[in-house]
Amino acid sequence: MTSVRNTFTGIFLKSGILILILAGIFSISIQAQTISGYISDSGSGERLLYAGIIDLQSGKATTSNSYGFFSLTPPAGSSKVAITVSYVGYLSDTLILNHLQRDTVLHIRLKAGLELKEVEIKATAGTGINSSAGLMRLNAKVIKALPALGGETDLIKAYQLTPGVQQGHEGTSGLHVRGGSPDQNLIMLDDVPLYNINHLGGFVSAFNTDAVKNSTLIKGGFPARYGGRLSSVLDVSMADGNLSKTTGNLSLGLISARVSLNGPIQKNKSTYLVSFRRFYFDLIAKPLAQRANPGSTVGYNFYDLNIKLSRIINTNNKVYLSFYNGDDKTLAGFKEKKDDGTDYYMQINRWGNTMAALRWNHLFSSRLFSNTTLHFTRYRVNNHLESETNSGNNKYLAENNLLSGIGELSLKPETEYHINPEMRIYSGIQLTYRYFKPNNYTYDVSEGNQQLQPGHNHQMLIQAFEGNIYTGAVITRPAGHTFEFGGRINTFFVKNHVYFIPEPRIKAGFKHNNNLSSFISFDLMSQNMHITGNNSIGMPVDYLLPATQKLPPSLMKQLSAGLEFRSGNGMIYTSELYYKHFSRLAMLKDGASLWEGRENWEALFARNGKGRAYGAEFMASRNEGNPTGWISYTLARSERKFDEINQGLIFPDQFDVRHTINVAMMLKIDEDADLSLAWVFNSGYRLTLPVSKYYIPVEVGDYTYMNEMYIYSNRNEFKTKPYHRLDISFNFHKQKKRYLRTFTLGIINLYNQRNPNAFYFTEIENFGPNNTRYKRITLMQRSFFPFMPNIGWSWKF
Amino acid sequence: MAECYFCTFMPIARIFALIFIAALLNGCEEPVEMDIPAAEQQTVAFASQSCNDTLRVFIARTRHIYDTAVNRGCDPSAIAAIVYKGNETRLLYNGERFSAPGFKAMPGDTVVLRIAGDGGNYTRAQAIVPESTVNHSVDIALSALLIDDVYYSRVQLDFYDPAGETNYYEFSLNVIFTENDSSYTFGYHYFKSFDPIMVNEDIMQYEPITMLFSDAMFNGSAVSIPLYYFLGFWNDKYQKVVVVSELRNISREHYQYYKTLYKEMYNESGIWSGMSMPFSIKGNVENGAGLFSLFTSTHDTVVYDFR
Repeated sequence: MTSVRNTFTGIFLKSGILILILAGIFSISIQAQTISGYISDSGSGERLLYAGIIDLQSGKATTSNSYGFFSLTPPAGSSKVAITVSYVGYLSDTLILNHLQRDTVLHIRLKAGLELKEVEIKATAGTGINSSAGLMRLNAKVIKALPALGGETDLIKAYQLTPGVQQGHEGTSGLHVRGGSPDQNLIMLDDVPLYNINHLGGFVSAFNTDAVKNSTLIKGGFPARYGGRLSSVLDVSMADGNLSKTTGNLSLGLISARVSLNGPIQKNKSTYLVSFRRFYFDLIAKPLAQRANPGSTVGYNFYDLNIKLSRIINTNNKVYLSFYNGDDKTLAGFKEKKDDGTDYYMQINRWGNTMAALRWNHLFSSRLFSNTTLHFTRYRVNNHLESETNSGNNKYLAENNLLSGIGELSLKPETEYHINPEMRIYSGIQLTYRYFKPNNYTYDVSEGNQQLQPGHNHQMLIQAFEGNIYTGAVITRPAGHTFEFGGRINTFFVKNHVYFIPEPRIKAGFKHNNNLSSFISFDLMSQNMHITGNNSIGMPVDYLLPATQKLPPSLMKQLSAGLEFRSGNGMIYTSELYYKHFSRLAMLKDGASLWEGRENWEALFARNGKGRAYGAEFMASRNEGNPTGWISYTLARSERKFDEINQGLIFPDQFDVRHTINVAMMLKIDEDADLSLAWVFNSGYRLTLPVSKYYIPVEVGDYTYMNEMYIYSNRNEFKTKPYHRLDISFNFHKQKKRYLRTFTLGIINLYNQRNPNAFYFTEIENFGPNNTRYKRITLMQRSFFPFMPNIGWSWKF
Repeated sequence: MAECYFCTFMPIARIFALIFIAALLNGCEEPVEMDIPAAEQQTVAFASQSCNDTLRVFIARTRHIYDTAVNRGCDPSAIAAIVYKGNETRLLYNGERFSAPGFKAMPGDTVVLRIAGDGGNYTRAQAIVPESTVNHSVDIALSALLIDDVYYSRVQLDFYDPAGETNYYEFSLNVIFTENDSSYTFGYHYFKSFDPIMVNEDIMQYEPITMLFSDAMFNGSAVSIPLYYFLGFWNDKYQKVVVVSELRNISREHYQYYKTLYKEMYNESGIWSGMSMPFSIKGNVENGAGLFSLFTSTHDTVVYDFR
């Protein structure tokens, strides 16, 4: 253990020293002046992330980072510099700086302009600025424009329309990225992971689009700053709030209402944003239930509360405080008045996330930017049951509480050093304390003041510590070629065991001419936790458990490559190939569940599973003009192999979908109306079905009955029928004196295709020869979303 | 102005909301024609009994899932034998099961079942009778707990668990009612327990015919588990009531088979739900399906004589 600790310390020290030496060498060698600062929206002051900045004379370029900061150093001796700043959906701006003799800090504000240029697909090194491979960004405007269930626009559903992403079961918020499972996605809100993003059984995600500024989905070519999950990173940024005036939004949909307000606390200094969303099914269900059964209570609701505060302390310092709380709640019970008292029963289930983050941006110099994040996040499921029964003079009380969850406290300082326009290095350390509570429960039964049996209080707490160090360098050559290489060391302590996992990350982009570029990347990712669930319906039935000595962290290696062609008419054609190899996967054994023996939960998992996923993604997109949108096709395969599952044979993943076509289109009809549509087609997901049956005698007392048993096919041997659906939405805008009113009319599943959400069997009575009756087992398909109209209304002021 | 729009919007929204909720709640369920090819027929063997009882084995064949034949009985044409201490004994069909009259295995013994199949193949299963026989006692307090207007009797189960490897147990309660000078036996499975051992085994989540648990939480120590049954025999119509508890010391295979069987029977995880990944219930029968289990057991009896 001591030697391991020494090795760990040694790696940290060596890596830190190496970064310092590199930074020092480059700092000494560069004598040119640097232009740095922030890019923001001229109206709201909102920082613009990933904006492009080009030095027109040298052709050198850079991008703003995830906090809107940029740094550009023109060649030494340049006394006059012209830079152009551009950002999708905004008018480009060119600035000329004369007599540049020292480092200069600029705050560049861009005016919103090209309204329809909202989709930014940076799949490859096409611009020569961003070499990110396998990356897609959607901003809030696109997400809000797409058709939505019940009028509730959803970020996750928008990403389900992108290539390489499968949605899982009908209507759910599962993201199956390039053959991965939903637990393999790192989903972050303001740099903080959220562990469960499902509301309403997965039909709605936790992201309130009113509070979202930007989002990025990374499927491959992962920067070293990201880690902890195998398959994807979804990085969502909350809006900061308007620096100059108060603005807001009120939306009413069929299933929920949203309200948000943001503005300056101190003009041009500090901002606030408060956004609240509530599902109001319970407001309808409660009166109905009470009318049908007086005394009864039944209901379901969820809410999301986003709060963000930011303050510019001075030119070099800015702080952000982000808070999110979202909860689902079901309740069912009754209260019955009797002559001798009141009988009462109530069951309340709650699940949800709470997250808080404090972030501090600091500029050490015009080239050295830093961000420090301190965050807490937790997800918990709580089932509470209480009952009170009165009988004569006796009163019986029972109270049962079940709690499971996961939480973490983390500190992450990170720096970004712009050595020159051609090279920047970033590095950081993340220290995390994480706890797992797979199942804690208490139970009390009492009669009057006397406890009938000792109150039980069973606690199960597993603690883990994670230390990550990462560094990466991004080199952009004048010819437009880009190279990013770096690495991450995942250090994980759990149950007196420690893991060191080095994760190299390499990607290279090549610009062949102004229209054609290509890239290749290699990633190794690791994941320090396993999920117990064996379904993907998005219900809070899954438990997150840490990797341990018996169940080591899972690994994934991915090689991906792609081409991008930009035609003169604004069309972008991309294609990507990927091959992923999974190892050390863990999955619950057939029929096992955590309930079977929580004390010995590691034995319930099949371990050392392997998997592979490979495919090709093709996309044609249009980001400018009218209409905008994309068409994509994905050809994919995903397989798993566990010694203890499916007799050790390779089996397809449940969401191994061979062909997927997505169409998303946004059309501006005129100044006051626009139309969006989304069509999805996939060739069907996988099923395990019983193929044989037999009977066994089961004896109960004097009685013996024959119990029907089933023998199933190989895992996921069958395939469902193709899935396809067309959703459409019209938005009608009316600019009033003080606000913009938008009326939305949408239809989900326009041509009423019955797509499967689940399959089950039932016995249907049939008639045979001579009118003899017999029962036949029949496979049934359950669909949730037939033709469904929806309307919504919003006021933006 | 906003109020006007709101007033206009709400009645329309209400209608749309009702359509939406009705559609969401009703969804749509329809039969699907899925061609399930015929799987190779397998031999089924099933025996789950005390090693003290006469061996009786149920033997049958698997059938296609869509097979509508109603016959659920034993296959009398099967050729089966047991191999015990190197000797093979042919099993005889007694009209209901295959049995081996006079055969008796002892704790720690290994018994092999062989059934002849097609093409000279054999279906084989091996049962190892658990080494230890665990004595237990029960103490019953009638109507000890009232929950939701139902009176539960507390059955306190006490026994000493031998130290060593993990032991697996199965507990059941049978009640012999005597009424009008005739008797019948009822196997109770309306049960609640809040004891950590039982909660840990998830027995609360379904109604068990028997309760299966391991000694993971009490290995090598005395244990006392309160169990609550709905024993409604205070009715004066009974002449006599005899409560017979049985504690079985079972094999790991037996434990796993019944755990998964009960899970499929009582949890919504079987083919009738579609909400989670289905699974085959694995027994210890090689080249076939089913379970061949011999266990040791002890009984305790509490008599209520109302005459």
